[in-house]
Amino acid sequence: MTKETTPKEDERKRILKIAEVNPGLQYELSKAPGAEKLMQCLQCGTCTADCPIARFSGSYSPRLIIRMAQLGLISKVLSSDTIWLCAACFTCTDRCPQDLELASVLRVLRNMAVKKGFIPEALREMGSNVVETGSVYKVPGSRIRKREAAGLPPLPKSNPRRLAKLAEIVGFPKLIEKRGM
Amino acid sequence: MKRQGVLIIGGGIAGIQAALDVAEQGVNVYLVEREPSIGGHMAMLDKTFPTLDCSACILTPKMVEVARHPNIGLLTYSELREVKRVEKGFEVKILKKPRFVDETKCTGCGICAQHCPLEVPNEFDMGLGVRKAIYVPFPQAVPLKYTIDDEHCIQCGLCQRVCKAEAVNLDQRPEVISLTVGAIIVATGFKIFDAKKRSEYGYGRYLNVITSLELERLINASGPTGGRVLRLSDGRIPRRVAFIQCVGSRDQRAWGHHYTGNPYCSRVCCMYAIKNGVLLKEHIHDIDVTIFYMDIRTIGKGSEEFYQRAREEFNVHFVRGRVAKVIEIPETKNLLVRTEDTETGKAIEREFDMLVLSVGLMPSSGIFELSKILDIPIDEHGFPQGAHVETDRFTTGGKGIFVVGAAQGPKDIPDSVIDASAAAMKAAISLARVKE
Repeated sequence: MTKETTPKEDERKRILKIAEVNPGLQYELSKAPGAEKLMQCLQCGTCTADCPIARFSGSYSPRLIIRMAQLGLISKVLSSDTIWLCAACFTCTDRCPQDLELASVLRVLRNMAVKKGFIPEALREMGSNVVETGSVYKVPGSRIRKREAAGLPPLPKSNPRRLAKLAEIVGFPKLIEKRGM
Repeated sequence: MKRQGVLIIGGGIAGIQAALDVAEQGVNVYLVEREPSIGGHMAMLDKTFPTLDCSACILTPKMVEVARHPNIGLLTYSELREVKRVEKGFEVKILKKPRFVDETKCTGCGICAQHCPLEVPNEFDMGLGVRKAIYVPFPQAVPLKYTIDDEHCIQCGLCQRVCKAEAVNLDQRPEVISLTVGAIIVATGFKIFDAKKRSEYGYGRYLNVITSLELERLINASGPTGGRVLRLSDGRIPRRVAFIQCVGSRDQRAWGHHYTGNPYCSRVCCMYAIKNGVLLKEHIHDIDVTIFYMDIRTIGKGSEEFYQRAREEFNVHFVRGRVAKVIEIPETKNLLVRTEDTETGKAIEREFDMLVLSVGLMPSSGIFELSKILDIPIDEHGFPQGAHVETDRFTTGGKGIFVVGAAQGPKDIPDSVIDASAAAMKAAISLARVKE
C-alpha cells in the first residue's frame, strides 16, 4: 500500500501552484537585516556541502531554501520543517563566496514564519510551556511524585507570572497562538 | 630625425610580443625584466589551451628573436626605478641588479653550476625542484647567462675558479642606466593567488594539495620530475585527482582587512583545469579526473569544443558544486572533499589521492610601487586602469603609457598577444605624434 501512495505524494509536492508564488518575497526579505544579499546567491552548494545538519539529514539543504526564497515560493519555504533545523553554527556564512549571511537569512525566514503563523507544533508547545511554567519542558505530575517517593529534593521553582508579564509586553503569547492556516 | 625608443616593462609573452612588434617598425625597444630570464609565466607552462600546443615550442622562438633583434635592447635582472615626464617623452632610470657574472663573457656552458656546492629550491619550478646558487632558471633561458643568487651564495669562489671564460665577477655592483624614451608599455603580468589564504582547502598543510602552477611544473617534461605527476607525500602516482575551481576567484568575502579572495573571475582557470585534466588522462592511463566547478566559463575560440571533448572523449568528470572543505586522512594522506553535487542536490564526501587548486590571477607583485613610479591609476583590485574599459583599455595615466596583457586584468595567452600587438601600434602612433 505505502509503496503505491508514496510516489503520488511526492508528485503532489512537486506541483507548483502559481498562486503560491510570491515574486515580491525577495524584496521583502532583502529589507530584513541579515538577508540583504539574498539575490547574490549563485547556487554553488558550498553551504550545503559543509553543513553539519545536511550531512546527516537527507532533506535539509540551505542552498535549496535560498533558491526557494529567491523564487518566491513563500508557503513552501515557511511551512517547511527545514528552516527550523538550522543549528546556527554559521559555517555556511563563513564559507559562502558571495558573502551571503545564510544563517541570518534562515533566522529572518523563521521570524517571518512565526509572524505568518507557521510554527511546528513541537516548538509552539515549547513556547507555551515557557509562558506557563517558565521552562521549555513541562515536568509531568507523575514524575514529581516519583521524585518525592525517591527522596529527591524538590525541583527549583521559577516565577512564571513575572515571565508571563514580560512575554505579554513583547507580544510573545500572541505569536505562538494557534491560527487557522 | 630618429624616432624615440619605447620602454617595455616585463618580459612575459605580452612584453615579448610588444617588443617584437614595436621593433619591427624600426623603433628602438628596451625590454626590462626583473628576473634573470625573459619568458614569464608562459615559459613555466607545459601545454597551452585549447590546442594543446607545447608552450615552450611556441614561446622560445619568440624569446630568441627578442635577444637577436637589432632594435631590441634586452635588460634582464633589472628594475625600473625612476620615471620623469619630459617635453618629448620620458627620462627613465633603470637599476641593473648585479648578476656577478659578466654577460658579455658568459657562454652559458654551465660548468660553474656543476661545481657550485649550494642547492636551493628553484622558483621557476615553484620550489619543487632545485637549482644551484649560480644558475639559469631553465635551460631555454634568454639570455643564457648565469646569475649568482646573492641571498644564498656563500662566496666560496669555486665558480670563479672553474669558469674558463673568466666571466664570474663577485665584485659586480648595481648599475643605474639612464634612458630617454617616447613611450612606455607596462606588461608586468600577474601573480597567482596565495592558496594558503583559503585555509579550508589545506594548501601548505596537506602535502597532496597543490596549486595549478605546481601541477604545470610536475606535468612538464622539462620540470623537476621529468613530466611524471607524483604525490608530494610519498612520490606515488595518483589515481584519483580532483581540481577545485575558483580558488581566490569570484569570492566576495571580505572580513575586515583579512581580505581573502578576489571578486572577479580569473578567466583562465576553467580552461587550464580542463586542459590539465586532459593531460593527466593522457599521462596516466587509469586515472580518474574530477573537476569541481561553480560555472564552466570557456572563453575564446575553440574553448567550448575543447570542454566538450574533455567531457566526452577523455571522460573527465565534471561535478557542479563548489568545494567547501578538504580533510586529510592522516594514515594515507589521501584527501576527503566535501561538496554538494548541485545537480542531484546531495551533499557528498569523496576521497582523492591528489587535489589541484585552480588558483586565480592577481596583479603582479610590485605593481603598486610601479604605479607610483609611473603615476598611473590602479583599479580597486590593483590592476592598472585603462582610459576606457571598452574603447581604450591600453592607454593609462595620460599620454605615452600603455598597459597590456595580464597586467591589465586576468587574461589568457591569445588575448595577451593581441593586446601586445595592439599596444605596439598605440605606442608607434604616440611616437609619430611626438615627431611632428
